[in-house]
Amino acid sequence: MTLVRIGDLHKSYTTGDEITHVLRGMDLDLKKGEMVMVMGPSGSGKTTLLNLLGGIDGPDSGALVVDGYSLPALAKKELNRFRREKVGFIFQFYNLIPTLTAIENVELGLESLVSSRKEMKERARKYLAMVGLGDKARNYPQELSGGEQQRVAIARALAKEPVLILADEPTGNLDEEREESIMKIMKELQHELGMTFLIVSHNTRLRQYMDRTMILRHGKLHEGS
Amino acid sequence: MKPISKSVVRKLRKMKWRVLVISLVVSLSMGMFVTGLYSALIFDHSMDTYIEETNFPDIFVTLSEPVNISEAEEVISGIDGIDSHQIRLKLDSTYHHDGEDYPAVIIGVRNPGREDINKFLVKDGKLFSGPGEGVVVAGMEGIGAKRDGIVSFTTLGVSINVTVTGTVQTAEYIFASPVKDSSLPLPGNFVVLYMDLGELQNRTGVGINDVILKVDNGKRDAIVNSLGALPVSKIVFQEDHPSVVFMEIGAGKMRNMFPLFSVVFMVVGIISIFMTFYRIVMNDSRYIGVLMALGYSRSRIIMAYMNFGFVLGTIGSVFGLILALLFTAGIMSYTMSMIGDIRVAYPLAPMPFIWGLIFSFGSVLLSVGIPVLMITGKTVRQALDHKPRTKILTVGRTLSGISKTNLMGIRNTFRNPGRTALTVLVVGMSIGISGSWIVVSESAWGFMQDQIEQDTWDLRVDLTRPLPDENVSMMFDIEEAEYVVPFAYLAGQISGGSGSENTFVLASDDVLRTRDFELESGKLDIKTSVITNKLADELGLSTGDSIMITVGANVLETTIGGIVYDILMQAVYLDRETASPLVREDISTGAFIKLTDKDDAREIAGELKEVDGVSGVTIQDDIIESMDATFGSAMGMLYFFFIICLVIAMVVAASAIIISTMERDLEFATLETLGIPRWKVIGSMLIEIAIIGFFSALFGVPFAYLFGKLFAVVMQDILYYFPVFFAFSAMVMTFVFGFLFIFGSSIFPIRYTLKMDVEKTIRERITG
Repeated sequence: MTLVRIGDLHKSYTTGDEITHVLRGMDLDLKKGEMVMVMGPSGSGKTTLLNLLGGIDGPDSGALVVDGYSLPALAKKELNRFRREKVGFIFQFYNLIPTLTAIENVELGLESLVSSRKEMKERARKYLAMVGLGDKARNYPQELSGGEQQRVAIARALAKEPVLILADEPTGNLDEEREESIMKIMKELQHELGMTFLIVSHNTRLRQYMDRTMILRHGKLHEGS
Repeated sequence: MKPISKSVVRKLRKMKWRVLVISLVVSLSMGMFVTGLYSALIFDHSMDTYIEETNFPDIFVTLSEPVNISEAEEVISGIDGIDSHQIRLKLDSTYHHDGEDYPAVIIGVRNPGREDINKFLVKDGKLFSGPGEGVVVAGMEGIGAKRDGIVSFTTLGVSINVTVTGTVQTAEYIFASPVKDSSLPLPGNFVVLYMDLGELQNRTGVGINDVILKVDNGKRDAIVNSLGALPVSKIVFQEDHPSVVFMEIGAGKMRNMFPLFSVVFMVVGIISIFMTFYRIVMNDSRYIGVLMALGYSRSRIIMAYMNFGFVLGTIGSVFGLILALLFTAGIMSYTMSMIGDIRVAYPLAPMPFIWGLIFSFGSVLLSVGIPVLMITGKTVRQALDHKPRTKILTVGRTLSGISKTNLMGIRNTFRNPGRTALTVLVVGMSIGISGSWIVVSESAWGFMQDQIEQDTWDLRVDLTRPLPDENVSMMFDIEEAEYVVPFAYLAGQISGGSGSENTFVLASDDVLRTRDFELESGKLDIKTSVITNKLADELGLSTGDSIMITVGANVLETTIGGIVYDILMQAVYLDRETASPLVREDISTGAFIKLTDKDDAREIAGELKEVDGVSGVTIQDDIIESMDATFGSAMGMLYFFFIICLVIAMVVAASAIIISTMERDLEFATLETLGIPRWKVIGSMLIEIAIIGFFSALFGVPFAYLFGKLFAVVMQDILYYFPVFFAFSAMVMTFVFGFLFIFGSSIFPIRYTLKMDVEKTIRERITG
């Protein structure tokens, strides 16, 4: 079953008089429960692709359908709901809210999804424990190391149990051991919950966990070797 | 342009309208600062200009009995040093309108169009040109004394009807006050008519009794001596004329009060400007570190930021100058109407504006320079590592049952406790200054009401000449009277303490029946003397001190038995025996009358005015009305300051909150990616602003009291004493309005958040 369908997608940015064409007729199909990595040189449009799939940014033209939602057709409110219910972001620089503790950061993403407060807390605890931070749930981000912060960010995205996880260098600050552990968790969730992962990274070690690897070059995706 | 300057310019361009909000902090502070300084100068200048433009007489001569014109002319023409003169007939009278009687004066003049002495400034209509016509002093239109109206007077038993060709302003009657000898300018219903001298003489059969002179001031004493050829009863020099005294009192009060306001606004301005710019520069610490790493010298970095400060300072100063002119024009037209509605004359005085520019540029450049100096004093590593403080106070760690976005709002308030405390302090001070106007106005008003209620008499009757007590008692032996207290009322001088002052002496054995005196110190011992606190303050006197009272050639030496509160009078109260060296014990100049029914006061006053030998009747209710009118205007001005200060507090809060919001755009964008609706983000900001508003307003309440106290102490010297009390209503008003204005400032960060380009922020900030 296709979860993501991108067809002839174009995206450009205008800076002053200069127009930069980032995506030039990109096509991509992601099956539900697939884990795909996108690699590519800096400035190739990897992050733009994530932003478009997350409904943060809109395309100039082309089809962009996620779980049956045609994103360009959605109103602002609907896009918000889409992000809340369907997508989990893992940012390269974590972007944790400094005024919330680790568990509260995870709960933040769950608040509008889970009606029971108890369930919300349990799920947040569960995912924090999964990433190995069960004992640091009440710590504020600045009380955590870079790697720990990255794991909180991962827990925040995973805890939502969305259909699509968009990850930008999710293991960039983790040592190899932690990286392996996190990737294993992601794999488990992929199989257990049927989550789909689109991961942007330069880390070739991650390829072993992927179902497919794609290369983004000249605004288009190519199957990687 | 050098790259470093380009960077600063682009930074400003990126800030867009926020530049205006930040500049507004500078503008408002500078605007109020300059207004205070400039207003003080305008008061003096307007007063001088008015006296000069109208050729206000140097000497006012009142004759004890009328003389022929030719007789007066002969004496005056023989005196050297008189530049111009005007011979007049001036008669106390009663003005009738709609069945009511009002005190009035009719002055007959030969040529109303004279410009060389006591020039009339026509407000409406034109000057009169013949018999049957006249002009009235403007301001009494409400009781029928207006252009094209026919006005009716009675004087010396003769009825006089005149067509009013116009209303005029004259320095002679800036304050046509019915309140006798008040030290505060209290306007009231008092009609002044100028009409043709010949006709007034024909109707009344009286010669002339009044002369005004413009003279060579070097020969003033000789002129006064030469006037002895006429039956002179009173000579008043320009500087002693009530109009000049009142204008000087008014101008003096304002001259002292406005710079005080300036200082307060300056202090608040400096703190808020520093807070605003300090935060902007500190947030740039990393960037400054990069410049240092690139080898930029400290001075070049400072200069670049000074350019930044200079641009904001310039924008702020330009708006500040505009605001200063607008504030000044508004305040001047308002306050001038309180001291006689004289024309506002703006002096060409650059100093207030220069001080304003020094203030705005100085505070902005220092606010920018100090943090840049602090950062560039660090090592490159330290500067690069510097992050805006992100210490999170653990408030709410245990809060449960509250949404995470609301929790963010609460914790954001305290994420930088030092900064929050400073914000609350500055905003609280601004609210406090606002509230202090309410405290001052309510205290002054309350005290004024208390003072008025202390008088127990309903009518005060003054006689044309002193009469024996028994005659006075007989004259006013009316059945409606509850008491009649004859008194001797004298103008004199009091010496003691730090010098001497003009005073009025009121001698009566029953004076304590006429007023429920409130003692400041000592006791109500009229066998020694009781003086008003205003007089005691002026001379630095206290109970037990020796004083010398002089009335004409008579002198009394006594001590002060007690000091009483009185906002209107500079007076000494004595019993008849004690006052006997000054005035014969059995002679009175007037009487206080208390009626059994106060409602009859106006009717009985009308009857008493017709009694032979009565020069005037003052109705207590007229004083109350007059004071209500004066204080009502003053209160209006204080409420204007209240609102202006709240606007300043609002802008200070807005600039602080906007900068906090700007620092957090990354967090807001993250919330957006989590699908959290923007209204929830705004909700968290509203909570934060509400908390800051609550604490600021809370701190504003004691600040209001403290500033109110401070203002009251200063006003004691320049206006009058009043005790400061903090009414519950003033506290509530300060808190509620303070909170609402600060909460209202949320419109700026909300607008910023709503307009925030999330996609751009994410592209630029999140994804690196």
